[in-house]
Amino acid sequence: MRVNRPELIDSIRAVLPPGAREIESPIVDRLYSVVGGGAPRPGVRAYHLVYADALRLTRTLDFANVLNVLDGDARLFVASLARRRIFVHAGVVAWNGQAIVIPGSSRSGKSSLVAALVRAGATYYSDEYAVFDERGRVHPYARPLGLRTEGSDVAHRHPVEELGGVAGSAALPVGLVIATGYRAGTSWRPRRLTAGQATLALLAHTVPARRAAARALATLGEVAIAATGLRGARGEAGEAAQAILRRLEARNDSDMNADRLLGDRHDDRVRAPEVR
Amino acid sequence: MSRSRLPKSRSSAELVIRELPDELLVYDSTRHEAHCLNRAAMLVWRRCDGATTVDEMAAELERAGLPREAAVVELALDELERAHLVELRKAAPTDRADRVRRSRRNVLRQIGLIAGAAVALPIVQSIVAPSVAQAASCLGPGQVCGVDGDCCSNLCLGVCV
Repeated sequence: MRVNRPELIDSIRAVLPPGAREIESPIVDRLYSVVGGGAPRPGVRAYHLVYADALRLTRTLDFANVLNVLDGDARLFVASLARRRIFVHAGVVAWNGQAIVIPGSSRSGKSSLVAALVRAGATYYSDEYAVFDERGRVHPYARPLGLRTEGSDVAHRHPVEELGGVAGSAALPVGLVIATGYRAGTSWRPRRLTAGQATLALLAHTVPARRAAARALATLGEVAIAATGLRGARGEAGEAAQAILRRLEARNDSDMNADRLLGDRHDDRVRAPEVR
Repeated sequence: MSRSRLPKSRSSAELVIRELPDELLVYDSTRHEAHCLNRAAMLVWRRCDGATTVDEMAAELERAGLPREAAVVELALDELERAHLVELRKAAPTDRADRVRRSRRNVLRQIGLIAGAAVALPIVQSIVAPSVAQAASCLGPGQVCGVDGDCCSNLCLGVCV
């Protein structure tokens, strides 16, 4: 990351991906250059410029746009090219030492479900990416939650503390993988997924699915074997959050008891997740 | 046998395979599709070596505790062919009628509606692996967008800025 005006660097640091730190390395995978436009002068437009390597990402008069562009591009770059982690587009919370992973595309209601789980007492891990290591454990990626107000397309970021929650810091094994989306008036009555089906549900939202298919299958297979996979539409987030936490507690008591008590149905005819 | 020649699986050089308990995941790096084969489909696919007959595959199913039915093998081959995991076989004039006869419901009826029979039927579930942009939570600069919320920058002018 380089800038032409040193005073810009602090605001840029604030938008680097979670876990970013300074290192010394002779290898640069991606070089961002920010050219601050300086003070406006009469008759001269002081554009800010952002480059990734030799590619110009934006030319704007509003420095907030510089930060938004850097934020988005750096997160996507890390997610797609991380060498020792697999990034899956998902919400993640923790409950009693196990992670609940909710893969899903934008606007599937992930963030509102994650917020409801946090309000119900779960520890916040991420509302954007589940970051898996090769052992299938999920690592925190705790950006402020992006929540949309009803009728608005723009998500506003809220620190987890605003919801009365805390962010996790340790890598955890996964207890539940939940493929779900919001459907008004629905009660959450999920079907059990096999390990293979749960792997597909995760792979359908995996950032480097094509570039690192072998590594993704190996990692996500580990996750799916250890976790219980569930699939089904949900209604209101608060109600679904309570049901999900009950489900994880029952799983911890005994998977077989959970099946009996909670009336699980195995999903042997589940349709493949849709990919837009 | 209705098959015009013996089924053969695609070249393994194009496929990434991950075994799970009683299932097989196959990633097709040419088509960027991922498939989940249940036990019956997995057993049939593993015998698609260009030398094994449908009857021999049915015997393999029986050894694994599944119904020994040629119709089940044919259904598996249909699913595997649809997923492009076996090399295309020469279509016989009667193929369409055969496929109708081999519908899941008809095969179930044929092997008897015993408890758990549905589990014994071969299933191949497939997805198209997403590109980076499809899997990302928001669109990067220069990508076509509909509304501001599509973009990482929250600013959409036809393409994300």
